[in-house]
Amino acid sequence: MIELTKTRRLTVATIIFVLIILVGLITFRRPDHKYTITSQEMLTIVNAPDNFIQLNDINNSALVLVDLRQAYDFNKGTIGDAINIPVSDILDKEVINMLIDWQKESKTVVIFSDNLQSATAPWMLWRQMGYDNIKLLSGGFCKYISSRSGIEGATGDNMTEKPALDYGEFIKNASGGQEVVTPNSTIQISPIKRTKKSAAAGGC
Amino acid sequence: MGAVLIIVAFGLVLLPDSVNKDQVPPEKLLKEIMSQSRYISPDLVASRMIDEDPSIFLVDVRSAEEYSAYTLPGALNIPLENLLDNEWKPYLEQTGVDVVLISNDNLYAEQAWVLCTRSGYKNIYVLKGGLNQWFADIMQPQMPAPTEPAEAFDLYTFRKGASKYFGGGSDDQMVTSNKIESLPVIQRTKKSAAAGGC
Repeated sequence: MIELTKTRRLTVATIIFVLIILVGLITFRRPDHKYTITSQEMLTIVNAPDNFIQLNDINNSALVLVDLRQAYDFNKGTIGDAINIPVSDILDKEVINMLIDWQKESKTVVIFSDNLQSATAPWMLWRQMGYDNIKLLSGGFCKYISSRSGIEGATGDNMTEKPALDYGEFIKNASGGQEVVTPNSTIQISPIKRTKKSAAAGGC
Repeated sequence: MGAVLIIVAFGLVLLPDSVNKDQVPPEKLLKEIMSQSRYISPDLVASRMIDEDPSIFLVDVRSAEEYSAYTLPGALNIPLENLLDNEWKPYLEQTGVDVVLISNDNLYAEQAWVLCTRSGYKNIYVLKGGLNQWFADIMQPQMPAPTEPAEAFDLYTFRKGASKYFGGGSDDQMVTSNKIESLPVIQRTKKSAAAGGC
């Protein structure tokens, strides 16, 4: 008799166990999008030099050009046979499926927007989700237009992040040989205060 | 035995939720990316610095060499490659302080912003156009055309003043009277308290 109750208890426990697992699996919503690399890995990628495709190299047919601008701007003109994926749609299911296909076919995807900066954040988002075949078009659409019409010479050079002038020198001249602003050594911060949760205080 | 199994089951179901809890998920990051509110203009930064606003904190993400050659007053140097080091965390994650990321253009600052935002840091801003824009707007302001609205001239006057403040020293004729004219002080007599009542 005692044996029987013991077995029954065990059976009940097993059934509850399986039920909880099942309910958990059914109700648990898997996130649609996940990062596959850590922030630290992304930082290493960002500092690597091979994230850019120069304007001169985009005629390669193995590349897929993606225009991240709004449909309105895209319809007015784009680079070659680029396809339009506005930034707001970059996590859509169809877009993600396309990215997966391109990655399988190991095609290099070159994305661009008006300028390099505005394509950077979407690019970083995709890269962090693991689509490592995506590169940035150096300069972006504005640069493409000006290089085509010969305004700035068709170098397609990556001019971003170059100082426009020697800042230190400029300040020195402007202020009549005065000392340049030296970095401040006493920097004050106000760290986030993490409040300790107090124990539940008495009721009535 | 049964109890242990139930506890383990609960644990397994709850586990995936707790992983990566302090990271901003891609959907939310995209929303932040699409919002343009992360950009702060050089004029706003300049005016807040001149007002000695304690709630603005500048972070220069360029290399140490560029930083030592020139930076904005009070800026802290966190080279982009060291951005996620633990020692900088308290500087980037502050309460009630707007952290403004600075680079020569906004590319590096933008990259730093994405990584900070993914880590869940709040109140991170990007200096729009970076130091290049700063120098174009604040240090070498362009005189507006005579046909432009009065606001353009106000802005120009502000920028001229700011340029002096930040060491640009424009040779333009500026009204630089240090003397503050003493204003006639009107003596206000104190009203006596309402007397009486019932």
